[in-house]
Amino acid sequence: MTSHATTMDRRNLAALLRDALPYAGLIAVIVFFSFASEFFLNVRNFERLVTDSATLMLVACGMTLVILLGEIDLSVGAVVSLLAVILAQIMDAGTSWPVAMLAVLLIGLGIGLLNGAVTVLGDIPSFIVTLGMMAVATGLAYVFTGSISVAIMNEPFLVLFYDARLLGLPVPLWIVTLAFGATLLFLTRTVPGRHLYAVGANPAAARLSGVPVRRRKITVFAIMGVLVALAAVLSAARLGSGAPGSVPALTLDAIAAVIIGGASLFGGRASLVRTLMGAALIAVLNNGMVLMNVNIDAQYIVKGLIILVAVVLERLASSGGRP
Amino acid sequence: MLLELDDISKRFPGVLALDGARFDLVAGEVHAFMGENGAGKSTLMKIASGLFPPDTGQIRLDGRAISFDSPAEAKAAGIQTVFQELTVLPNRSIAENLMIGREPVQAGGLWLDRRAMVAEAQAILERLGIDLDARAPAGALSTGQRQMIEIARACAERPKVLILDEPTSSLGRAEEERLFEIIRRLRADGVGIVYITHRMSEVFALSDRITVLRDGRFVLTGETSSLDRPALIRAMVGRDVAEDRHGADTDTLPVALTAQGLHRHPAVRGADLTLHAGEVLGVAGLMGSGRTEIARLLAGIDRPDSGAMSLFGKAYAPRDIREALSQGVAYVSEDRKGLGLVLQLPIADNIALPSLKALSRGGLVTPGRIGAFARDWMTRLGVKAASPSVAVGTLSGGNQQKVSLAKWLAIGPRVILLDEPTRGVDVGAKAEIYALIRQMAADGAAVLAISSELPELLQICDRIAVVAQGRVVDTVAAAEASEEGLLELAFREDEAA
Repeated sequence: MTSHATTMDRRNLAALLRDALPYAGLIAVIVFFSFASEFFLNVRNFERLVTDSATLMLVACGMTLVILLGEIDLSVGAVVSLLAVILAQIMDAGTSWPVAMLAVLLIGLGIGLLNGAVTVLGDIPSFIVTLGMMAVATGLAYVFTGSISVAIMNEPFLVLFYDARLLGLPVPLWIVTLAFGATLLFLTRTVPGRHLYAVGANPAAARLSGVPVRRRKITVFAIMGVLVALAAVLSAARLGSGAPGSVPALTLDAIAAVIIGGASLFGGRASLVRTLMGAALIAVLNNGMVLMNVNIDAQYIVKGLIILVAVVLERLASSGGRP
Repeated sequence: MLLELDDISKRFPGVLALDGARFDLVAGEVHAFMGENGAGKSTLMKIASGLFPPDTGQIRLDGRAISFDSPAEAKAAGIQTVFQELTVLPNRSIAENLMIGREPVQAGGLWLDRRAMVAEAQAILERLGIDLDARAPAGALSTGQRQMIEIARACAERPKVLILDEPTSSLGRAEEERLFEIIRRLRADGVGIVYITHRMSEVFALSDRITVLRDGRFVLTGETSSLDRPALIRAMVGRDVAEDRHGADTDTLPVALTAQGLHRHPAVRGADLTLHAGEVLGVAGLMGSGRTEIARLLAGIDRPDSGAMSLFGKAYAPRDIREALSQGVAYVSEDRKGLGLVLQLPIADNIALPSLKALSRGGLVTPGRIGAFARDWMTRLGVKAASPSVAVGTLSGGNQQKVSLAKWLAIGPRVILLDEPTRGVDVGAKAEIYALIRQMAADGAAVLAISSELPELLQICDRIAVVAQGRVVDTVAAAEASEEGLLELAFREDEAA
């Protein structure tokens, strides 16, 4: 009886820590960098932080839905680079930016649908499917460019998606806010969105409840594809170019944001709001470590450790004290 | 005496599974072990094979008292068990499957001696008269052949006691005969064999002695030659069930759902049935009789190979469960935790899951609407929980089952198929669920209830269909039915097939 009680206590404590981690972690890193770097705590740096992390926020948003289903998408970083390359090249060929952007959104949607369809119809783990897609996208980006970056000369495009402001706020922030709001509305207030929790937690029960499980999964990969394409647009505008391997840490960061947000990698548990906090935590870490001249490899170590802590907490919270 | 289980009791939360049960086995006999579903046969044999310890009672092997802390200890002592679940690894060869865990090695354990492994495996197969090549991949074997590999694996350890838990439940006639040959060969070698089965024909064809268990208690042990079928059935049922019966005059009720000649390989072999709106039709049958598989066809989860169904006079051939649901046919699974509910999610989300579309306005559905909807259904069915936002997995079995029923009643089904509606539910909640089931029929729904508990069917149904070998062998009025009569039907057809 006592051992049972201790197990429950330990589990509740782990659950509390898991749920508090993104908030507490975010506050902790903000406080830390405020003291550690004189450049951190000012409006200019925060605006830069927000525009710099817009790509991550969009991808993390989609990754939340994918992980909620118990799936994963490892191709996001490679696909963002590929789409940025395509965007730069078709604008370089004289296409206007709205047309180029529409093309890239459609290609992103297509890639998402392909990831989803192969995973679901082939009954193949998404881990493998998207690993394959990652390799294909990386290869294509190198083939298209001959390994050199393609500069974007389209001034209106660069201004609109990086420097421009609407009602005093940077345009990337607006895009992230709208995309996040739309995803949140989809997940919590629409029928297909609410189905996702059941599909992720118990697909067999969901199917017997009349939920079209396969269609829902493909839909989520398609949404992921569109968000990745939007991320590619912002990334290209920020870097002023499209280049292979332009966002090396993006996939890791996006998965980290969702995991820090307390999601279960087995599906059925994920929160968009906590993912947003997790993504902000990663963004502040990236920003702060650059300001403090922490070398890029050491940044990976710090982020990797945070992911491990989050994963262990989630396991402790859901398995009764034993990881 | 080879193995004695004496005065064994075992309590699980809420159930006394065994109450002073006993069983004894001598070397070189086949001892059949019988009882209704839930009589405690499997529990007693799990204790004998070291899966869990008894609360009280003694186990003696070769006259010495022993206790097992793990299945490995029971195996080391010479007790091998073959459970119903097949564990053959399809991607490995037969030899690898047979020798798993005790592969012959060379060079101090570093090197697998593949040749010796194949030779040894082949020797085991030959000893049992199984005509298979040990080098062949196990994946190509039929279910029956896999069952034989399971038995061969158990025999490779040269056990004193071999426990077989319904070994023929997935076998065809010819495979069954081959299995009997193996069992007789083992008996001749002096192995003591415990044979758990539901099939009366096998008991008389194969066994030397029979023990019957009922409600966890010992009823009788006797020589097979001194027992007959009626005596066994009486021993298995053993009690009178009176109580008030229901008996709607189904001739006056509209026909809701019919099935003619449904086939789906291998479990359903020509099932016919008629279900009326406003009645509760029970489905009785032994495990493996095909009762769940028939319900899955009616529910649109599986599609029949052949046969026809109609729903309120119109042809009914749902492509999938969604189409069945849209026509008002709901199925409440027997596997509440695996297929019925999403345990991690709140009560509200579970109840609303199939009704979300109906609850949405302009494509949107709010948590407030879902909560109010769930609260309403919780009140109607008497679900006891702090709030609709509590995770379903934290509720008791009875409350989980009520949530399961609420979820399906909420879509307003015309036909509701209940598979083991009171499994894992305590006595008090059972009575409430019975009342709910009767209420569904009184409200005009056509209710089909599958149950392993015959007293339950007699109590809640208007008519009872007996299923055996994938067919409905007879349909009787509940008012005129008895447990003995129903069991007799189930067993007789089982044998005739």
